[in-house]
Amino acid sequence: MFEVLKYIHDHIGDTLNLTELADRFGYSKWHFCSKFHEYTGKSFVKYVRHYRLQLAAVDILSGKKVTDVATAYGYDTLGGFDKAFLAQYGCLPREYKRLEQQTKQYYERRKDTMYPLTDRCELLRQLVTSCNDYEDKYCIQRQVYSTLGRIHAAERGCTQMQIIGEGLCSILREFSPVIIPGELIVGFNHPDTKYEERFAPQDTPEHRALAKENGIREQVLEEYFQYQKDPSKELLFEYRKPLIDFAHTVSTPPTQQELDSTEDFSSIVRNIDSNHTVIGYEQVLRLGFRGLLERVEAFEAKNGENPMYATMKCICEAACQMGHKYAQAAKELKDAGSDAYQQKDLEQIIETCSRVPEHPATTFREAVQALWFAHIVNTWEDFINANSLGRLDQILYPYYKRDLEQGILTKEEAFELICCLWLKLYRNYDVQQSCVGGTAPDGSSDVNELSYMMLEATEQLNIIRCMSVRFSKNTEKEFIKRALEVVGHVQKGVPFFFNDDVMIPALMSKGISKEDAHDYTQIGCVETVIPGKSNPHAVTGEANVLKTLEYVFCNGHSMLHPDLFPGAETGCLSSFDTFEKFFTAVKAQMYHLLDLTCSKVKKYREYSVHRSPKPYKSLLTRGCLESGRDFNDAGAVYDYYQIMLDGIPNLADSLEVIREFVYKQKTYTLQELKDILQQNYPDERVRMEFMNKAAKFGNDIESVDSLATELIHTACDALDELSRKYELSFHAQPFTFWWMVDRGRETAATPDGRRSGEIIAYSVSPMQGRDFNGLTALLNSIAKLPTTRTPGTTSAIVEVDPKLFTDRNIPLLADILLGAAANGLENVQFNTIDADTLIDAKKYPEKYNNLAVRVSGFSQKFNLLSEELQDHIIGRTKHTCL
Amino acid sequence: MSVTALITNISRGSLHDGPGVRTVIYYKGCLLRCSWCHNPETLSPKKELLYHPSKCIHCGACVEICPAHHTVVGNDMVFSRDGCARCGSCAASCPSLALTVCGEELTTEELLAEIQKDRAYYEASSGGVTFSGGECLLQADSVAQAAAKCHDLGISTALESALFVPWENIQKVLPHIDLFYADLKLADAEKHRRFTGQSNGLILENLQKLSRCHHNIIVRIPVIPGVNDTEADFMGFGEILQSLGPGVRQVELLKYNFLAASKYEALEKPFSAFSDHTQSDAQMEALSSFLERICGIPCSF
Repeated sequence: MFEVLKYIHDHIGDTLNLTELADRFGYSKWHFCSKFHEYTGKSFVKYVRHYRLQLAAVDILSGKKVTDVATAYGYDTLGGFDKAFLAQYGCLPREYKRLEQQTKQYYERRKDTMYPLTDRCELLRQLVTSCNDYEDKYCIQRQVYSTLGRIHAAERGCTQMQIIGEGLCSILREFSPVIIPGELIVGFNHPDTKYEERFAPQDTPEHRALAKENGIREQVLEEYFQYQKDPSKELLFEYRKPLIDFAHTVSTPPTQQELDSTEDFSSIVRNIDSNHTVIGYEQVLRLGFRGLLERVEAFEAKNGENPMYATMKCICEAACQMGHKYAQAAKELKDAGSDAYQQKDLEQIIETCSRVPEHPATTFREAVQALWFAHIVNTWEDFINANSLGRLDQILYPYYKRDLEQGILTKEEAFELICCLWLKLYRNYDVQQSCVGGTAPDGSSDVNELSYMMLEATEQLNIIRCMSVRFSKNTEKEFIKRALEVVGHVQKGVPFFFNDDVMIPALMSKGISKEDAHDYTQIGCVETVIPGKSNPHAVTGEANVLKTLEYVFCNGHSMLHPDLFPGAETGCLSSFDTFEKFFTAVKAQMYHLLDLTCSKVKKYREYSVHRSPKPYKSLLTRGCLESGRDFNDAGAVYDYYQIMLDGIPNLADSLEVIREFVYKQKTYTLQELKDILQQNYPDERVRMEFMNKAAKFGNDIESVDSLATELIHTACDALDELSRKYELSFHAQPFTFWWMVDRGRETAATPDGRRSGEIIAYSVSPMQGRDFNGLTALLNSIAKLPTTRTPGTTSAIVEVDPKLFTDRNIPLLADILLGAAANGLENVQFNTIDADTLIDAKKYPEKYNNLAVRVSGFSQKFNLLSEELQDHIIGRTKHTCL
Repeated sequence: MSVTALITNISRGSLHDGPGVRTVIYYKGCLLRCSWCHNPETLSPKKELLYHPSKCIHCGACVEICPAHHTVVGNDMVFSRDGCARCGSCAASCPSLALTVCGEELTTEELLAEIQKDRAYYEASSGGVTFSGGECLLQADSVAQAAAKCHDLGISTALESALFVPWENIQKVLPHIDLFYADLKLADAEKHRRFTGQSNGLILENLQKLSRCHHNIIVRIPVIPGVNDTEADFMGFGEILQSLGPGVRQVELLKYNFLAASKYEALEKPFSAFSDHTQSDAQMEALSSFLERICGIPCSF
């Protein structure tokens, strides 16, 4: 059929005849019709008409005469053309041009009030978005140098801390600078987000050529390949055995089975021992690595030597040289006089990089460059993943203000620099979060000129930029409206919104000081962090609380794997003669499940303390230098563990069904219900009944919303108690990431009408497609949850029709957001693609290469998602606010 | 004493039925039969059964409950409304929501409970509640009581009516309504009778009175292709609007809504579209500026 379409498109000006076309492609006429309809969703005639009119519209816009266009596309009379055009576009052809111009002018007018995107940024934007991760080719440097650094240190018999530090120092010392023509901010970081074998060079001609291009000497490469072939060095290649000690085993690693729980996947602990951070980059801006080195020495003098201080000193020394290497490279390029580079750009790179990151930044430009270098070092320590940047408008504002006052920077130049930084951060999968806005401890708004400018850079560049907005009831409404405009115009689900009035009390309830709580920001998707002062251990522990139902029904056993016994014994079904007793059993299972999760976190923690010290993160995290303890060894001022809770909405919906049908109407006994679930709904009628005839979370219906609320309270209570039991701080985080697909696959049928293996709800968003009482009702349901107890954020994605983001409606949407915030909403992310577009995009991915959607705390190109996730996103209720 | 009203639907988070974010209450029952009505489910003053064939899973639960009025032929459900007692038991038994009852009896307290759920949004946006329908003023006691309570709670109120009701009904609600949307459909009495089933005498009389005793009225004119969109029609509207009292603040033209077909299908009533598309902005702009010139009241669409 693809060929057929291609033929139609190529011959659109000719007379197209269905019979002839069917013949040409070897179909019978009728078969052709049905195939065509199936593939395109339209009949042959409609499709051709639609496509012709599209082309006609383009011609009209280009200034051709309406009569000529009508004839060109086979309309005998102007009246017929007018009629067809009106039906498709809602206006007459001659009006079309004017209307189109109006909209365009309107957008242009808006653009006039914004900072212009410079040619430089436009060209760089084309470069970074045209290929998948254009920095791929440089990453070979990190792989080779850091691996060799680690191996050499291990051979010298160094400690684990030093081995890891040497890996980092080695790349810092050895890398070859890369300056791309047109760049204002220089430096490449790791190309992707995690350990991946494809980035590790193999002994192939291509990789050898690549290594040569990257300036890696033959001798070094030979050494690398030699070690790669040596089984005894295997452990030092990160991508192979990320779980194993690099040096020597100081404690027994937990087995994968122990980590994955009991194969039932209800309690999961991940080996992410960091790469989810916001550390104190502003210290690099303020002190420079030279100044940081002096700080380390001061603490060393005070507390005595230890391997951590020694490693930090090496890193500071090596990092000081980063800038100089770039200055030198720029100087060589300048002297070579190549016309690919503008002399002025190179001069500025020389000037900037001669200073930072070794010395404190003195200008806005130096600050942006120093921040980027500080970030590179962080991602070179343990890859990008969700290593994030924090409150960029706050960090950079003092430099911006000073430069403006001194008259050495214009606002346009500042905007261009921000765009350059944004483009440096661009990734297809991006969870390098940054944050704008916020509230100061005295209640005043933290919004400044840079906050607006950063929103604008996101809008003008029109790229996925993982970005959030913090707001409170004191935030300027203008700012919230501006942020919503960006959501509406960029249509990539950014930025997302965090309510300070809920987040800050939630953080303070966990013992975080008022001052620090007001400085919170986000990592990656939606994990909360106190920048430069905390190790949040994000996404380490995860509990699929929906599985507690299986354990109650099977008295501790898994329903999917009856031989497994992951739950607690809560008694036989006949003992639950009231709903309260049943609910109590669920709560007991939940405690048991969380206990299991926390105990595994504890066990894993002890291991990771030895396995993966993080000297660079320790350097830039308050508490580590002072205590002499590593970032992963509770060195940070705030050391806590975020425990993800999956399936809360499904569990609440299921309990409501049980209360309604088993205890109120007594239509089914618990045993009958168990049989139904075990047999995965043999009778569709029953499934429909459960789905449609009991209230569902997300519709502002008290009975079921209060169940969801109580479930989260139960989890929070349990985590408080477990925090005491294990002497670790556990924060509830009702957030699923995109694992709702996997968790669903591992969960038996549930009473809310969900079949076995089907996806579960995203975070605390209602189960997709089950909210039908409108946007305000949905937001109210979510806002009712005990959000002030969950500083890990109750994440929710709301699907909104993009047509809603009109200039008339944006102030109203801001009001809705503020109204929901007043009710206690904690976090919300908007997705703004209509369902038709998504369905079309699933069918014809080639048409939608830049279409990005909100997946789960981050945006992603729709084409790169799995089919299951695509369907999940299509299935979410689209709110139109009619 | 609390009044009970028959409600079609309560729609929350509306952005188009008055200022700010609003909860719209659709009362059931209307005496006009406008041929273009896009809320046909609100016309009958009784509960009605809606049938959505696409949702039907052919389980037969409805037949078991009500064998008299349903027959099964093969796999297809043939559904008949003859002799339906509107008891709703079939809808109650339908697991897939293919059969639903349209119309719910709600007391003023119940209405208020629903209205109050979105208070935070009204406060943030200067929104409130809008009474609509059907013809909400056929159940004026409920509207008056609910609106009065809204005012006690500081919630702003708006009302949309076609004014084809006794004047006493309008009087009952007047003190409690902040914004009045009055519908005007056709200026010519004969045409009005032809397309809505009733003459417009009473409507115009009420509109005259209303424009002299309420200060905040917006007149709404649904523009229907081929029915009321000629120059002559708009001259007629202009004359009427010109003669009204000082309370009319604005005139809003509404584009033709041609998407109601599925609602008619659910009621199994014939639907005749006046056009398969809506008007363009330019067409609306032309009509609205024309009308504004004759009547001197600001017009928008």
